[in-house]
Amino acid sequence: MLEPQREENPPNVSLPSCPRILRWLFRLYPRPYRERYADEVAACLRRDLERSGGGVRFWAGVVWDHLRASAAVRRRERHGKEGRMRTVLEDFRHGARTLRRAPTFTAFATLTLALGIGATTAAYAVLDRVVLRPLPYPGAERMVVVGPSREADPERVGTVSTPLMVALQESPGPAEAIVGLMRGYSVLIGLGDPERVYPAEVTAGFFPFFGGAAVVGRLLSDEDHVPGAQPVAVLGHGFWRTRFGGGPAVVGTTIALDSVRRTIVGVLSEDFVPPEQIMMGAEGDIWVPLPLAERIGAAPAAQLISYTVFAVARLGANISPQAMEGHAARVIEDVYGGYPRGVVGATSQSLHALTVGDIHSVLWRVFAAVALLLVIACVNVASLLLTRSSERVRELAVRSALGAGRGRLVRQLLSESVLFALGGAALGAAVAFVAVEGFRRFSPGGVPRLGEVVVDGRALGFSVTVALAAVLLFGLLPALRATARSAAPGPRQSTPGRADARLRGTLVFAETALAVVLVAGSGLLVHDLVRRIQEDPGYRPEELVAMRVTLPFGHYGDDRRASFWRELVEGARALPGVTSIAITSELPTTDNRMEWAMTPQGHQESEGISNLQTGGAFDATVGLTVVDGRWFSDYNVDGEPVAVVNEAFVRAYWPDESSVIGRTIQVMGGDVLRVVGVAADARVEPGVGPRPKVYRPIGVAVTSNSMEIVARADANPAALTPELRALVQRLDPGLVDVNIRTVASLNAQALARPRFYTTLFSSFGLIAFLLALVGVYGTTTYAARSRTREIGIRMALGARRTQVVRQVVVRTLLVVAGGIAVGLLVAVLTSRALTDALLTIGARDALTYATVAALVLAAGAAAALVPAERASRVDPASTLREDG
Amino acid sequence: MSPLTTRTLQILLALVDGPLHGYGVKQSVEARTEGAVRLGSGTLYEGIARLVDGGYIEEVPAPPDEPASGGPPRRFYAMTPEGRQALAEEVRRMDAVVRFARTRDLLGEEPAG
Repeated sequence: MLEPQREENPPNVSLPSCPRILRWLFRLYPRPYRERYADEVAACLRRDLERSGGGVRFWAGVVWDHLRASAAVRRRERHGKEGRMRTVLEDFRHGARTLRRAPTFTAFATLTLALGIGATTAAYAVLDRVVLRPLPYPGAERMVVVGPSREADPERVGTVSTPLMVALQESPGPAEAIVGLMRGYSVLIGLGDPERVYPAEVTAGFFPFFGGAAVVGRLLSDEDHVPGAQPVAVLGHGFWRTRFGGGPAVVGTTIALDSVRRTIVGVLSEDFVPPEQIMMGAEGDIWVPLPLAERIGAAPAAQLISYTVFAVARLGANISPQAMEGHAARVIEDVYGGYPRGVVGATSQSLHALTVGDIHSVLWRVFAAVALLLVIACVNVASLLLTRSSERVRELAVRSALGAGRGRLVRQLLSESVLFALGGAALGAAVAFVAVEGFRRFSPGGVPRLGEVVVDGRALGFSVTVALAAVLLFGLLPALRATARSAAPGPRQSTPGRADARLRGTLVFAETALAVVLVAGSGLLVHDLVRRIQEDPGYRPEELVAMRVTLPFGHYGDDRRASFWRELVEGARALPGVTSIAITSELPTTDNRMEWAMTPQGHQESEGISNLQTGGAFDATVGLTVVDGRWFSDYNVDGEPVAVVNEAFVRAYWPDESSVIGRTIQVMGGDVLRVVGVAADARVEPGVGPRPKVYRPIGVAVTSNSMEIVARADANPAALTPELRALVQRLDPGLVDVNIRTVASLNAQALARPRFYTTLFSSFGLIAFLLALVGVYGTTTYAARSRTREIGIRMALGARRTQVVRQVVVRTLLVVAGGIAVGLLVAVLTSRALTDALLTIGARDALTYATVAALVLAAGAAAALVPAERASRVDPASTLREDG
Repeated sequence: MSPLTTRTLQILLALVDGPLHGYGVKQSVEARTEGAVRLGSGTLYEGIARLVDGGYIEEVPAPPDEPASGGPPRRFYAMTPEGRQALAEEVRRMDAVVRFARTRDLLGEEPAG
């Protein structure tokens, strides 16, 4: 090749005898051609000129010759190498025309891809924002939550006590900084009706640590934390806008939290993501200083045993978490003079891991499922394309005969695939937007950072990449196969090659196997969920309504408190529609965190055991069955400390006793309880195994701050809600912290998350299942059609229809069965990924796998039967005639 | 279906005995056809370009025995295996035509033999 010429004029061909006409002639040619051949053409022309001596006839001939040649070159250029771009456009145009002529096929293939790409993009967007990206704080990747490690669960990071927090801040060791935060709740007074809010109490240095900035006023300063400082508060951006209209005048105004008036000093900027929001799912409305020194000064002993503060440390560069843990362990030993009871050391967990916690594996699972779905969609489209291209053998053969090379044909077929991919990506992006919005709206909570999730450039880039990869995956193979076939042309060819059938079988096989993996996974989840729903809760949640009332701190004296609870219970008992009433410290549906150290008779060590204090007709109201002995009488008028334990307690501590009535439990530092009865296990949460529980009479004088009133209604429990609320208002109009809900709705809530993810997975499984069926159907249709002649001959020779049908179906089913076998194998091997999502069945539940296998096989048979049946209806004569 | 036109067929035939430069092709064709096929400088190179693009001929280094001429370097072209195959196919096709023509005595005076 020559160097490209820079000047626009034809190259100087050093033709002194060459008149201007030659320059003009050269311009007729496309530039690349000119650059390549001009000097040779000129040399040739010079020799001609030398030989003929020129003359008008000679030059007329030359002009004519070059007019013809340049026209030919230009014509060829349109289809040749130099015109590749034009050819590509032509391929696309041709592809679009072809696709328009097959609208059903086009729509189906595009939708399949769009679904796969959209779901994958949405899952990626969520995964990216929630799990993959670092938290939006300076040095977030070095942030760890640090705290004591406890005997019961050494891996879990405990919260720290206020004295520990002080010690850690004074001696951060290998950490650059350590801050603490504590989430409480308060009653906010001064903005309309009193309401419950959840301010975060934070240590000095909290906002600089997390990179918070004020949009109005200032944030907390070190002086705000000094004992005796004027009480202040900082507002979150959303809270400021909704409650204060977003004006700057808010600085200097005061609000009352419980009984403390606080001056608002500033508002956080909008882009600040409150750490408590991502750590605990709290709103992040109000921040106040955590007065460490004051609290310790007021009650040093109580503060030592009250572990309430989250300690977050930012490690120095290249500091290992272990170094931090070692340091924290030494600080604990210093503060407590050795490890306190139950503490075995210190541990840490990265803030990111803590935040994304268990949702991490759920989201990866969702992503894996949709990625699988995308592969199935691609395989499906590939087999559709293959079917189609086999139907187009004649078209391809004709094009090849007309001079299209294999590369050209592959390009043309690929351009159809690219059109699919582009359509799929565009539609998929729309699917992704809808899916992310839907996920945000319907996800049952527990997903941190969900507000940050958007389908952004990164996610869209991901989807385009996926689409292009999909093209290679599903387009290239059929294109190569199709053109390989047309290389041995036979426009009258009526049976496909063996390799073609094998490829087709492989695709159906792969599709079935992948679908089985997904269907088996969702089958496990569905099976588990159904068992959870059907599980006997051990009590009767229907017609139960529960009202949690919390008295503000310091609201009543002890006497007034006791009489308040009594009046509340009596008032509720008198309401029309209430058949039975009880008061309890906890509902049996909630996982009781109130554990007391108790020593069951015959045991040496004390254990933390869940403890419910109940009054009123608790057993009758809740519907708890007493399986042995009796329930204690109302408010413990027995006069001696008694208790009822549940069956789980008996299994755990007295497994060998025939009757445990009369056995005793020593409460640490308190009474010895005599067991008078055994109650059936009440399910804590659907699917969560029952834990040992001790029910105790609450006593006549209830002095707790927060109690649950449980009422059994004779009809609709929700109808009691306004009556109960009015009752509380009558007793004390200042009480705002009243939470009324039916117990059935609490149970439903507890199931909301598994229900949501199970639904999600089942829909993936269902789509995969349907796609696999489409694949089976298409392949059988094709196989039957391509064997029309054979079937015709066999039937002409006297084969019965059922024989023909059976043969076609069995061939397909063998492939499907192979796919099922491999799919089940893969499902079993990867089932570990689901273990922590399953509560009532194992991840290798044989019943589920067997059901899935039978279901897919049966559906596969049905999908194969229809086309086989149709094939057997052929008129033998007509198929044979076609051959003529 | 043959990709060869009369002109490109003649160019290929000219290269049967070995590489030639463009003007050599032209001379060879005109000599062999006794002037019946004439290639102008434009159509000659249009044909050469088409055969090059189709992979039937390729540019090769000048043979060592070729004397260096005074003018710009001349480029030599040689037939590729694909070109030889296409030529063979075309010739076979023509041969079939000719054999048929012989059986029907279409060629006029048949040399005895």
